[in-house]
Amino acid sequence: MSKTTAVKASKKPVNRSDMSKFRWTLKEMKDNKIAYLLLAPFFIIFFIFTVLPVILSVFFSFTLFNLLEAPKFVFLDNYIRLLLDDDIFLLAIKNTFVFAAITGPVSFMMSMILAWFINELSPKVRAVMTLIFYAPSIAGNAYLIWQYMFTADQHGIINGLLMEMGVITTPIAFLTDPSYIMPIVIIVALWTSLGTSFLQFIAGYQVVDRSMYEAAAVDGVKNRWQELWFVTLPAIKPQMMLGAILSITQSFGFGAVITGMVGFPSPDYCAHTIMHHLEDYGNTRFEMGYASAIAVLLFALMIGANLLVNKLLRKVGQ
Amino acid sequence: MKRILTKALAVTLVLTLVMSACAVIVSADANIDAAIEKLNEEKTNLEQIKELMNSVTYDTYVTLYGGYEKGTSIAEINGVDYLPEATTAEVVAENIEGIDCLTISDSGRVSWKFNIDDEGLYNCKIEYYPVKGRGSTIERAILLDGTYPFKEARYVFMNGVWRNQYEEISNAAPRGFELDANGNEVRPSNIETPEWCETFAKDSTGYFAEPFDFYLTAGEHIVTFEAVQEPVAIKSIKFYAAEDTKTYEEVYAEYEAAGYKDVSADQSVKVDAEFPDSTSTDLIYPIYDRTSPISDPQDASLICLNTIGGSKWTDAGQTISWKFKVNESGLYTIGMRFKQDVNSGLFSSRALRINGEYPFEEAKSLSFKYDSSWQSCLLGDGEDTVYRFYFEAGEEYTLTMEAVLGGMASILREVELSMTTINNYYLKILMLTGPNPDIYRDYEFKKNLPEVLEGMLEESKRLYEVSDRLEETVGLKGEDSVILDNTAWLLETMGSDEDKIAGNFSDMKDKVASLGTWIMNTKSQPLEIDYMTIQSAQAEIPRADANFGESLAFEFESFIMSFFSDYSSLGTKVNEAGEVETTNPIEVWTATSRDQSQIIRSMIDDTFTPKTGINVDLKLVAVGTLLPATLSGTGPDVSLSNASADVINYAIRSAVLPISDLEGFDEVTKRFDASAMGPLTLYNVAYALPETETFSMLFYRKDVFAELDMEVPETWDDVYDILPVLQSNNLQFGFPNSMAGELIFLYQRGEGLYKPGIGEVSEDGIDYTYGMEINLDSNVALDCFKEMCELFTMYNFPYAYDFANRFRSGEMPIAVADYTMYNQLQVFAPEIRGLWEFTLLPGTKDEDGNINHDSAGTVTGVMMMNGCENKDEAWEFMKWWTDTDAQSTFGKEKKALLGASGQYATANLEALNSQPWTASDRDNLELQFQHLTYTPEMPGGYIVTRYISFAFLAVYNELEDPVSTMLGYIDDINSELSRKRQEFDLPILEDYADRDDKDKETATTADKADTSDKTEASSETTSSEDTSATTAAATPDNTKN
Repeated sequence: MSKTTAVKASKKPVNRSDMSKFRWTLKEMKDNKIAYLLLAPFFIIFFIFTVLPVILSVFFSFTLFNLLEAPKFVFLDNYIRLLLDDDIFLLAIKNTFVFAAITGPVSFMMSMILAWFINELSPKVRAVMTLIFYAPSIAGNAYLIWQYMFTADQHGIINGLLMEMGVITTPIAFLTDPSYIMPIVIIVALWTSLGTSFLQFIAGYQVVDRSMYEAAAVDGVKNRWQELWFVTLPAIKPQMMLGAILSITQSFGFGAVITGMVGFPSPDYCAHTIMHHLEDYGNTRFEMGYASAIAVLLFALMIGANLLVNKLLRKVGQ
Repeated sequence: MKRILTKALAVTLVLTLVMSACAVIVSADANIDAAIEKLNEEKTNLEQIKELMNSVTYDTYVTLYGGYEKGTSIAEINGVDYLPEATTAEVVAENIEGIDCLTISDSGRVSWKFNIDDEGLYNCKIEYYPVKGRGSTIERAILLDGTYPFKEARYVFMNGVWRNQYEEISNAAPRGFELDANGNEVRPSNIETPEWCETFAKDSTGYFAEPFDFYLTAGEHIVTFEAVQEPVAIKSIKFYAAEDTKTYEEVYAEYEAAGYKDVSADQSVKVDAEFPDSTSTDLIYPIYDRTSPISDPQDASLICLNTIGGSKWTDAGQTISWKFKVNESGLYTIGMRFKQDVNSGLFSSRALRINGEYPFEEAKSLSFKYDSSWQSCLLGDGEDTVYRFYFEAGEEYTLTMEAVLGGMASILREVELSMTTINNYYLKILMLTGPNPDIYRDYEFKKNLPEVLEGMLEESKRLYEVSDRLEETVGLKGEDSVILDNTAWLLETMGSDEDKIAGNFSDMKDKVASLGTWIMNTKSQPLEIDYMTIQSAQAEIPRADANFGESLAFEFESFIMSFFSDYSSLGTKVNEAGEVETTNPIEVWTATSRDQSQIIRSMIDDTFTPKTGINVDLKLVAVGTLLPATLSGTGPDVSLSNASADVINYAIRSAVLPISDLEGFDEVTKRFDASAMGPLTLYNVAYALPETETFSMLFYRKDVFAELDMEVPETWDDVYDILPVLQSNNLQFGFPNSMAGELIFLYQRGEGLYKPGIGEVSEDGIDYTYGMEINLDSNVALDCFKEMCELFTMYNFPYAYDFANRFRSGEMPIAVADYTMYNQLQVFAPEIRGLWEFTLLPGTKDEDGNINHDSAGTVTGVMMMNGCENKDEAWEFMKWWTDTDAQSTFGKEKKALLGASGQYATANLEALNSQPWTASDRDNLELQFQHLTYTPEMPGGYIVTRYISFAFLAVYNELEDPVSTMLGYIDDINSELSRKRQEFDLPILEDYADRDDKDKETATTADKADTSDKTEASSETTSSEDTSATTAAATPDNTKN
């Protein structure tokens, strides 16, 4: 077997420069067909359920499509309307950025620092603490408990407490009063955000080679902060990368938490994010074309944000 | 001389005698007359409530009259000999099954006269025939001589007789239960099979196990039955003192004296509990147990209806009867395999009757202990004694088990009394301090509410004492007595130190609520029975549960079989050849629960398919499946239970077929109130038939109103009159905010949500311009919005509240709420039974003094999807599903399934009427039905709800000016409406934008007035035809949780 291959190879010596890029790729693919075959099941599924929808939504974003009747092609109309004639979309962008700019980095830093602290604990305590911090994100709709705490009912937990202490005399409609909504949702979002990235960090801290700390100490690292900055963090860069991507996607897609807390749409659109806008047009108004345009923009935004974070992370340890 | 004297004396004597007799007669007559007069007295609602609140409880009645001996006379009254002058019910003398009786309608009173020779205590036994009614328990209030002797006499129940309809035993139904295509046993229908019954007048709650003792003086009396619900036929009413039941010891001594012996050990008759002879309510039917491999019969993958009872058989008074025969005369014991896994730490109680009689005193309360798994026992006293019963060979016996409260009765009674009192104290304190008392303020409770402080200490003592008794009864101190102890401790603290009242006030409320829950849970006496054995005392008792190996094998098999079971085909039945028929079926989707879809399935199989020959493929789908399925072209032919907004959303995108032109459509719509079709209709084309319709009504607490001497408000002006009284007592009015609240005011003033069309009628006679402009900026609408906002900003109506809880505690004695809350209150708040009512919404008076009580209906409907190939068949199905029979059957079955809280809010008027409402509730409901309207569903309608709510919140939270806030949203609303309408090629506001300008330019002022008049006139016509005025319903919009 190996002999034949050898013969074949010797028969036809190939040179990269002999052929066009396309033919070279084709040839490489032929040679590695087993690898492609093994990859195929995943790739087909990934393509059908992830890539295709993205492509489709780009396509639909150029049409008027109400889900029940055939789409009508309108080219850039949706985008023009979206960017130039939709005040609520602009509001949604603002809200999304405020929300993402606060929850994304804070949640990322929180994951990282909490993980660092917890990592210092003894293994048993660490296991318990990990569970405590990770629990909110495994327990699906656990954030709804905040809804009970902040309910506008005078017998609600927070209102009841404040009234008992004499801070207020009539209940505050926390979840329907625009001035309270954003802060509350951000707190709740942070509470639920210690998800996978938090675990990543814990795992990451564990695999840092002990000998590197010793070497660093010999090389003159003076304190734990320096140790963190020059040794630990560079060593866990991949985890940080993943954590950052997770935080960003999460903070852009927090729609469900907000809806769960303050309902949909939020009073006076005060916590209306791009996700909500998308939902609004897709589900309530049956305007899939328009919703697709929103989705495409959101997609672009996320990619942009990820590139930015990538750049920032390169600076770690320098 | 002597003779004359004697004669005179004799004459005098005779005269005196005659006269005194006359006097007696006269006085007796006066007594009767007074009673009749009392009965015929007209009483206002308020007076009745006051009477109810001041009436004595049976407890007090017993302490008052308990000292009297049992009466010796017997008074038997024939039903037909009623007193017409004191009777208001419709009565008919009839002969049912050869017995003369008096059939009495379900409202009004009937009175009878009877004579008692000996003063004393009497029981009242009623022989009755539960004529077919609406399927609920017969309920009567008993009056003696024109008054209710005590509170409990207002609620006397008479059970009906219900039987399962078994199939003939065949291959298709090996055990008498029908099988579906997969071989699962299908629950048999339970129908009312009236027969002559007798019962004592006794406490309906089960707090008093013995029949009521009525104290009667010698002489003539009048007994009156006042109907609460259901008709009944009465053969006789008998007043006599029933004999005491013998104790088991006495009975057993008799057996021994008669020489009865235990039967031989091989004599055993098994009575399968799932085949009862009869039950007292349609709520009890065979159920299946899958927790034990030895439940009989059992299958790893199929449903076997193998047990009865469980959570369905929990209320005191519910009975199940079985019939059996034995082969050898002698003494038997009764073995039983049962499960009581609900009341942890407590026991469930049952009374046992053989052929309608208690065999001995102890049989009145048999206890079944808690265990998480199945148990078995021989009926006995729970210790050494096993009860023996004498049965004659070959004779048929009826064994009846009745759920009773047993040893818990007196404890529950005391706690309930105590809770009512504490709740009363809570209300009194609330009226003084408000719901959130300031702990730093001295309310001078000692001066203002001295009786409350004393009362709290008393209740505390009572609860401690009850808790001790509970501990004794149950045998250990558990979570149950802790609830009582905690409450007692709290009351002690609050009662002995007035400074602690304010701080513990909210805790007090919680404690009352938890007492209520405790009572409700403890009152429930669940017991699931697999089978009973009538067996010799020597035979082994039934096996309780499987061993570990058996359980493991069973669970494993179930697990494996779960891969092969078809869970979606919902009890489809097979034809004679044993195949599932598939000819030309229509596909129907429902998104309800599995149990409910099973009801629909069996209704289809029982009536629809046999009648029409159309096969139906009913599928249970997840909510939200319809849209993607329709998108991919795999949707159903007919979809059930769609919100009206969805119907119209699908309709304008041509995913739903119009039904207005289909054969018999006009006939069909007569089944519903006019308001029900409205939201399912767009520009005169109907797209769905209504299934359910709900709307707001006014709920109020009669007792609180009586105490504060307030009348139930009839108009909003009346509401504003009573608000100060409510508020000075710290009580609240519950009112829906935003859209729902706004619409109530708007519709009652005769305005619509949308501006009338401009009167430009298209070729087909429809004004398509209706719905292009919102009417919220009209003067009336702005007034309404302002008024609604002011209720919350000025009158401090609560913005968020739990209606049922606050209504129950009395904190919110009046509220506008959906009428289906009725169900919840019935089940959730039994302690305020009879103390509340729902009635017409407060109305708005117009200039002519007419009061408009309009409430807006919310409907769900059944629609036919585009792409349906067998339209005629699908239409047949829709017609069948919304007809009176199908809807009332579904309502009954649903209620049987879910209990009283499952009352079905059908849109079919006749079907709604046939449901078990009490007569007065039904009248109120009917009244509100005459004042119903609806909110038309329009393209873009979602935006209206949204912006009204934004506007309201801005006013509520930021105290903005209502009018300018609302006006600020009008343009947004209108432009969204236009945008949506453009999508569907409907005329939009902008098309007519120059209309006003032109008017301005060309027309003189007079002309203008003219034009606007015309527009108004034409709009009136359009709206009455097209969207019939206005209407309502807070569409549950887009609020996604």
